[in-house]
Parts: sequence; structure tokens; C-alpha cells
Amino acid sequence: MVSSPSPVSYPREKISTNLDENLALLKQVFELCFDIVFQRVDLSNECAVLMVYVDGMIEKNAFKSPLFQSWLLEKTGAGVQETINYPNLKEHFAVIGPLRHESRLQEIAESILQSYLAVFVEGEPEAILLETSGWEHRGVEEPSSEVAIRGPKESFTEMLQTNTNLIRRRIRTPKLKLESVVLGELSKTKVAIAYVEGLARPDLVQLVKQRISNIRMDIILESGYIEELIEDKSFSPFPQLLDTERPDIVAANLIEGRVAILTDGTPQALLVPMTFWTAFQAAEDYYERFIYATLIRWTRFILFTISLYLPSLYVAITTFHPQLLPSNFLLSITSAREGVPFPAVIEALLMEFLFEGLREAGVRLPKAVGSAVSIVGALVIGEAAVQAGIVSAPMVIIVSVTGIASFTIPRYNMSIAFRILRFPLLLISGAFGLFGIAMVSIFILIHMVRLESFGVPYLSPIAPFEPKQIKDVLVRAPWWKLRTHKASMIRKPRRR
Amino acid sequence: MLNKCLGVLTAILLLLPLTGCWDRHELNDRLFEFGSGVDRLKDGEIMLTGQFLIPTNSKEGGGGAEKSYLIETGVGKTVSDCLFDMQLKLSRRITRTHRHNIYFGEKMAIAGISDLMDSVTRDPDSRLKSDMWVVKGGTALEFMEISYPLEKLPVIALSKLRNIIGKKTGNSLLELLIEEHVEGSGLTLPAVEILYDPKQRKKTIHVYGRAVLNRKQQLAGYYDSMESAYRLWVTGQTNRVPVTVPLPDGRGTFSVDVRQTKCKVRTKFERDRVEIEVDMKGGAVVLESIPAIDLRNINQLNKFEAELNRHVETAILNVIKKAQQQFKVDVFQFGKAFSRQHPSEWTDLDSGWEQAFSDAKITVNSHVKIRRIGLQGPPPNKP
Repeated sequence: MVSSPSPVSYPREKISTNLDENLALLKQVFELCFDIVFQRVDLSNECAVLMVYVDGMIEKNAFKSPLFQSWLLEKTGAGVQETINYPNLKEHFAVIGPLRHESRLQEIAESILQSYLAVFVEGEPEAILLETSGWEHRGVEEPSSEVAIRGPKESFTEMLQTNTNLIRRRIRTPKLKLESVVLGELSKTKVAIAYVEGLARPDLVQLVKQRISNIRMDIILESGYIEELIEDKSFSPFPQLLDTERPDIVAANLIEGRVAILTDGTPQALLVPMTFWTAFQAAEDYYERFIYATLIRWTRFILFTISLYLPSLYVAITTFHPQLLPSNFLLSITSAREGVPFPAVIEALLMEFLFEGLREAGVRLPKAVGSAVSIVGALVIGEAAVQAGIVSAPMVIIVSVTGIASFTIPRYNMSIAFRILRFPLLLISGAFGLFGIAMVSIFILIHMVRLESFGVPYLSPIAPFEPKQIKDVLVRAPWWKLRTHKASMIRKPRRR
Repeated sequence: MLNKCLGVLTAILLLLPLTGCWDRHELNDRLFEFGSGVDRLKDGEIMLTGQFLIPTNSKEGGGGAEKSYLIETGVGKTVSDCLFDMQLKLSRRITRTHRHNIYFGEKMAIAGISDLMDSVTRDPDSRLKSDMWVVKGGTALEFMEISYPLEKLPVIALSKLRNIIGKKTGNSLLELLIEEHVEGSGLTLPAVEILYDPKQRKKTIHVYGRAVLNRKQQLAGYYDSMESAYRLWVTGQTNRVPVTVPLPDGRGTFSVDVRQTKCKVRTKFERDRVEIEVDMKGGAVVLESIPAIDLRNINQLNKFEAELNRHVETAILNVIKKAQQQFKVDVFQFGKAFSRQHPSEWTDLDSGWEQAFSDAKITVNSHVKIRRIGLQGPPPNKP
């Protein structure tokens, strides 16, 4: 953890009854913070109020609401001589939004920063804290990284409240619990833990809460912070928490008994526990008919294997075991490879590295120059390198097929895992051939079998084998088979 | 803990470059031998011929001016001796894992191929799926030097030819090794020859038939292509035999294609003599019929059928007699049938099976039925 600054010191514990004194106190606390607004209003001769808020973080329209306006008019308008005092002021502020009162200075200061409107009244030892958050934010848009042709086109936003609304709209039951936690010493980020009571195992919920409460960070900017802090094994290429920007995926997983973690300021929700197979389940699998969904899932499995193994298999077979190729295929490869100066491993590493570079550039580059980079990339890697005889044409095919295959995995973080693993596989295949590939595969398998995500084995329900839960793994069973089974996916794991 | 893990990992990774004995050979450093030939030289040495692919040339495709293959020879006492001699002439490592064909020159076959078999079965670089051929009346080198216009490599032409006329025309090394262990059976290898066509003034390759080896794996003689087809019918290794039958009295000929061929071999052992009864079965399809006879007429069809069966019986009897009298080798797996039907007598006969086979009484019965007569009854334009 980075060294945190010394905690804020407050001049006194409680606020005073004097309005001017309070103003001075708060000005001292918020020294050199120009975005804090101190607004003193004399409502009547007897009643002066001081409103303190962060500029732009409160809903200013609240004061323009007809109810509030008419109330003020009623009290202060011409010919009205009714007194405005603290009790009826409090009563009428309740019209605008939920409020509480607070006398401790520290609480008041922190609430102001969390977009509360603090109202101090002359002669009163406590302030009214009015929740009127209303800052600028993005609306609900289409998902950008988890696109589906069929299905809802909503995705999460940076507003926690919007996100919980999106989930609540899908699960309208009081059993959907949304527990709020504040994380980060300085950021005070709101985090919501969502689960459906009775479907999520209580010990899983307890485990999530416990791990989250153990987080000690100054600042939580993204759900990724939380993911890294609560995952089971840090030194693993495999993601152990599922992240998604689709509320429908979260809702479906909550019903399966998972726990969702929503972070304020992050358009991604985290879901635990995650298993390996969830990486191959796209949202669309459940909206399209089951035959197509099953076939397309198998397409993904095959392409996943290709994305992991194709370059290393090519290297191993051409340099160690050319007898495995059909003769005519070998003829084409040998003539295409003739004159290429590099060994096949180096060639593959070079091309894979270039492809990673192209991909990274594609993500990073400004939109305006996007087409330029892709043209240059395609020309340089695809055409010129082959024409110049630096790279062989089969290798270009291998690398591009691998690249395309890696994009078919619905979960982006899982495709990252495979991209990482592809390189050691490639190196070993260049040194040991198929034997090396088998060795690395065994190592990966051992690692995956040992991996757990929040107490659930990573490869379940295949290993350990749970025949009752297998309806949504290798195939997507039709809904009339699936519906009874869906509600209890995350069982207590069998201990090995 | 972490440091320890990293240390172990580094140690393992460092082992990779240390060993230095990698099996890695780039395709650019390999030379693929697609066919090889073995010839016997006068002084008892053998000459190995290899046909290799020149990779750069195959890219241009139909340029045609330059040969896309390379032929190199090596001489020595053993096969590996020859390989070593050959490698001295070649800049790239000879890789034999894609060898399609192995040719034996006639002299080599007469001397016997048993001495060569160890090399191809012991060396892991050798390929069990290679087909073996005997070059009738020539040397392997001569045969391999004939270029073939349709394929980049002449050797591939023969492999494809084998697929077209029926896979069982050839014998892979693997099949040969299996055949060796069939009771009393002699080996046969497909035979090819070089044909010179004086009208077109070119040499071409031609599948002649089958070379019969005796049990010492020396060449005993040849069957021509029709005889080979009949032999395959008897051993049950084919399901199609084309037969052309001349009708008696010079009334013309007709050709049929016998399909779903079956053959049943019954053996008897009576008065110290082996009796073998061969039952041929199949369904014939008339492909061509020269005489002006309406095959829709059932009587005529029955006559055709009888003629066909008589022809098949004599032809097969002749093929078997040729083996009995000329080659003195059982190439019909009769030994296998006999050993299964009379296991107790077989123990006595096993060593002397060649003689027992040669003296055996053979009866051939053919029950081929004509199933289809084609699209018409009589030939067109004939009354």
C-alpha cells in the first residue's frame, strides 16, 4: 500500500450553535477547497440558515421543485407572518429527500463530500443532512465489449445507483439483497454486495463480505482493485472472478446463487465464484434456441483449443515430427518455407509478438488514426513480410487464425489467460516438440485442477464431476430441462 | 517461497540450452525422400537410389523446364552404408519419413530382399506405410529416372495409380510384415515395368502385375495383371474383378465387372494328399456385349452366365496351377485355411507345405450371377 497521508484533524468534535462559528469551523476544515459552497440565507428575522455543499454534486433543481418553492412563499411571502423555526424547517426539507441530523463535525464534513447538502440553523446544535446527489453522469448505453445480437442492449454505467436499479428491475423480490460497504480510506468508494437470499450459500456471502471488509486501500477506482485484492490465487493466469458489463448476466448469475460485487464508478460488476466453463457461456446462449447455442458453444471450445495450441503445434510438427503431415501438405509447406531465414520457433514468436503489438495498438490508438494502423499492420505483416521472404505464408495464416480464434471467447479476461499461456507453449514446443507441449499442458491442467474460486473448484462440475450440474457446461440444455436446475448451480463444493 | 519457486524455474529453463541435443531440424534443412530404389551391383554391393523433392521448384508449378526432383545414389554393403554414402553428396539431412515407394531392381529381387528388411523395420526414421515394388526386367534406378508429366514427383504417380486401380494392387511394408506371418504363405509384391512406346517415342511406367517371392524372399516369377486380379479374388482382398469372356464358336466376346466377390476355401486331407476346393461367388454387371444377342431373354442370359462361370473356373485354376508348378509357393493363403480347418494335421505339414501345396488337388467352382445387364438388351444397330 502507498503511504497514506495523516488523517484529517478536526478542530473540535461537535458543531456549535452559533452560525458564524460554524461557518468559520467549516471554512477551516475545507481550507483551499474552492468547490465547497457556503451559502448563508436569512429566511426570516429569527431564522438564518447556512447551506454547505460541493458545487455541482447536489441536485440544485431540488430547490426549484414546486413543493419547496410554494412552501417558501407560504412562509416568507408578503403578508405572511408565520415564524420559520427549526422543527418545521426540518419537516419541510424532508419534502426534497431523505434527511438525517448530525452534530459531529467529522460526520458532517464527510457527508458533504459524499454529495450531501448540510443545512445549519442558527441556534441549533445539529445540522440537517439532505441527500440530493445529482452530478453529471453517463446514461445507460449499449454494451461495448460484450455485444449480443439478441438480448437486452443495456450495460452498466459508472453510477452505482443506476447499476443497482438495472439489477433490481430484473429481480423484483425483497430477497435480492444489496448490501453497501464503503471502501478506500480516501476515496470512500461505495461498493454493493448483491445476492439473492436463499439461493446464494450463506457461507459464500459471508466469505465475500469478510474478504471485502479486509481490504485496506486508500483509493478504489475500479472493480479491478477489488478483484485483485480478494481473489484466491494471485499468481495464476486464470481469472477467478467474472467481470461483466451486462446487467442480464448479473441477474442470471444471482439466480444461480452467485454473489455480485458492484463498485461505484465502475461499469463492470464482479461475480463470484467463477469456474473455467463460465468463460464459454455468452449471454446470447440463453436467448437463442438451445441447438444453436450448443453448437456455437462447441465452436468456441474448438476455437479456444486452436487459439492455445495452433502456433506451438505447427512449430512442433514441422520441426520435430514432419512425418505427421500428409505428403502433399508437407510439399506446400516446405516450398513456402524455402528461403525463410529464421527457424520456425523464432518466426512464430516474432509474428505472435507483432500480432500482440497490433492488438495493443488497436486498443490504445486514437480513433482518428485507427484505419492507418490497421492498413499498415495488415500490409506489413500480411503481404510485405511474405513477399520479402522474411516470414512464410503458412505462418501468417497460423497467426491470424490464432488471433481470430482468441476473440471468440466471450469473456475477455479468459482470452487474456490463453494469450499468456500461448507463449510458454510456443517456446517449449520449439525446444521439445510434441513432448514439450504435452508437458506444459499437464502443468496447466494441474494448476487448473488445484485452483479454487471462493471455495469452488475451478474446473467443476467437470472435475470434480457433478453429473447433476452438467446441463449447462458442454451443452446448453433446453430451458425446460434447465429451469429447475439453474436455481441451485453453486452448491457446497465437494471436498477432495 | 516465491524466490525458491523462481529459482527452480530458472534452473529448469537453464537446462534447456545446456543439453544442446535437440531433435529440432527445420524444414529448410531437411530433404524429403519420397521414393527409394535398391539395386544389386555385380560385386554383391547394393546401390540405394533416392528421389528427393526440390522444394523451390514446386512453387512455380507448371513451369516444366527444370525437373522438380533430384535423384541421388549411394553405394555400400548395407542400406545404412548406402545412406551414409548418399548423405555425403547432399547438403540437407535425408528424411525418409515420407517415403511413398521402395523399388527393388529385378536382380535385387532375384538375390532376395530379406537382408534389406531389417533396415526398414529397425530404423525409426523409416516409414511403415511405404509401398514396395519390383521392377520387372530392369533396375530401380532406370525406373526412377523416368519422368512423369502429371505429377511433380514420379513416385507419387505410382502411389496415385495404385489408389485408382485398387489399393490392394500394392503392398505396404506393414502389410508385407503381416503377410510374412500368414501360415505357409509366400510373399507377393506388385511388379512394374518400363514400357517403350515406339510410336510415341517415349518411355512410360506400367503396372505389370505381381512378383511372387518364395519363402526365402527371392523372386520366383511374375503374374500378369489379370492373373493378379484373380489371385486377389481368391484371397478375398478385392471386391471388383473385370472379366472378359470369349463365347465359344467365335460368336464374339462380352465383358463383365464382377462385384461383391467372395471366395470360400474348403480343404481336405485324404490319403496323404491335400485337396482344396475353391468356391467363387459374385454378382456380375455386363459392361459390354459384342454379339447380337438380347440379354433380356432369360435363356440367353443363363447361357452367358454359364459361359462366364466356365471361364472364371479355368482361369483361376490356371493361376493356381502356375503357382503350384512354376513358383512352388502358396500365394493364396491356402495354408492359412488349411491350418484353421485341420490344426492337428497342420503341425506335420507346416515345414513341407510348399511341396504339399504343389501336389494338392485343386477344384474350382464358380457361382457368379449376372445381376445387371446394363441399359439395353441387344447392341444397337444389330438385329
